Amino acid sequence: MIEFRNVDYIYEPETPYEMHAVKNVSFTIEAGEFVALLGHTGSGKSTLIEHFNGLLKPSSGSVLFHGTDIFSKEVSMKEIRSKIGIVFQYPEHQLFESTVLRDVCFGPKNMGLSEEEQKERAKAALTSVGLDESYYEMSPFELSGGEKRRAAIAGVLAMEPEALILDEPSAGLDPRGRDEILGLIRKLWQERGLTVVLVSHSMDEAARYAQRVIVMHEGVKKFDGPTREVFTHAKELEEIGLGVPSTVRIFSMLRARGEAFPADIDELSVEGAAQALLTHVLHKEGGHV
Amino acid sequence: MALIDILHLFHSFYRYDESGSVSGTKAALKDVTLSIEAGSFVAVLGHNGSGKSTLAKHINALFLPSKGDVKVNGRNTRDAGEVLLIRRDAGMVFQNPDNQMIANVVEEEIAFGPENIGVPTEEIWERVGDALERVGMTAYRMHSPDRLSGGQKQRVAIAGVVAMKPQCIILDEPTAMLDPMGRREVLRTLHELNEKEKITILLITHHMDETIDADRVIVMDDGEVVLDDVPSVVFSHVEELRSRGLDVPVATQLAYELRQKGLELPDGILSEEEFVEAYLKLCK
Repeated sequence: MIEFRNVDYIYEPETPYEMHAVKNVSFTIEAGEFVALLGHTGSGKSTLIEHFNGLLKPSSGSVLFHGTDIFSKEVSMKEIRSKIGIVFQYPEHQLFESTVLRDVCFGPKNMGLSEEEQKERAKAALTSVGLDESYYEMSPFELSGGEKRRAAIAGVLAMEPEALILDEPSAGLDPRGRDEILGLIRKLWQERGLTVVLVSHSMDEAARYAQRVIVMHEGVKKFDGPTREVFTHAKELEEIGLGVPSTVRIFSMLRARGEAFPADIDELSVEGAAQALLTHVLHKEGGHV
Repeated sequence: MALIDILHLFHSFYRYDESGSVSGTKAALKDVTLSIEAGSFVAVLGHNGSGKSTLAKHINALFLPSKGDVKVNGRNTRDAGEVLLIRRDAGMVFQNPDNQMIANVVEEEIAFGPENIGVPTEEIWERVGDALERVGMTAYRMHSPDRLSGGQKQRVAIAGVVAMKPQCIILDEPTAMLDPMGRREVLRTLHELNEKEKITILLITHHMDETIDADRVIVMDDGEVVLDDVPSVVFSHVEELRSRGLDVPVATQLAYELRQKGLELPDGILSEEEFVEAYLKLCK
């Protein structure tokens, strides 16, 4: 559905501030995938996501949506931006209208929909993020941190996008707020078949939610594969300062100390890890009898 | 005498209607009594709205008690004449580094505090150099704060407080907006200041992994202190922490799940290494 072909991006080329932020990055994201885009600050991941809907134009290479270059003449950028919704970091800073409902109507309004349709879409979007009627007439500034963020996501959903790109949606939230927002994203993915790209620097988040992981480092795509497979590269991931989820690290320490575990255990979740560790000990005890 | 004494502290926020009369009250702190010893590293953990930031602002006299008392070095925050001395002794670092930077050059940023309290010029520069060294930012002395990373900005903010020669630094979620590398930098700096300079650290956070190495963890919920002990004891309350909207370290959670299933793993496991050692004993 979305394809990056040899994308390069250079900030302020031919000036003393020239910075080569993205270097020859290629990948394809299929409809309905849940992908985590990982990397720390300065790895190029934020620059990369501004390419998804044409906010940045590649210095070289191309970005394709359903097979067509998004910068070609026959493509309407307006349409691309409603089909590929980006939720930026701290999206609540972009809430500006006098009421929650009006704020969420902003996207559909820009798409040229009638007032009735705008409201219909906004209400549906608010319902899907768990904000009921009692929120419609509230000022966005009266909401809690987590609620503001959900309202901001509703603003993007109201455009009925095919793909949702989220830049660190859990940043600054407490554990409860984080679980709520990520749970919501997972639900949207499962129930509506939305394609999700989750930008994160939390390995645990990626392990818990994503099917596939793309790791960026110094502007280069370093790893790209199924989540479990990427996290087998523990050493390289540690070296670039990202690390692996806690459970994966525990298994790798145990293996280094001579304990053998089957290859097909679930190392990514606490529940799966606990099950594998339990089976392993019981098996050993059994062996002694 | 403890460095910080909090006695039966209550704090209420008021909501006003259009005519200016009180239309609602929210009790943010309810009868909090705590004392913090000089030289300790104390973490305060709680979800948003638990009252932890309100508590922090009391120690620095940014808020005054609705009821009860807060004393820093024996000075009561209610005593307007003592407020400047309290703020010198107990410096504060906030969540968003960008909101705290005022100067164009790092060294001027750090000089701002000491200059305000009338330190002689020569000594100011001495303090600036010293503070930069203690947070490991000497190489950035003449840089613009704009171009620093989040972690570096927070270290500059900490240096600004260090230059005031405080006895205590209170940090209100200083890492909430940082990436993992920035978080590690800031945490390392705080532990060094605590160990080498004996500065008391009060770290407000909702990242439980930042509290594992603290001397003491205080858990707040709904304006009250609900747990207050060394980390290994606090984190053994797995169910309680979860029900209060907090995480426990993964190693602790894993040990807990396995204990529930009958494995004899000890209480108080916090790190992955501790878990691995305890688990290997079972495999023998």
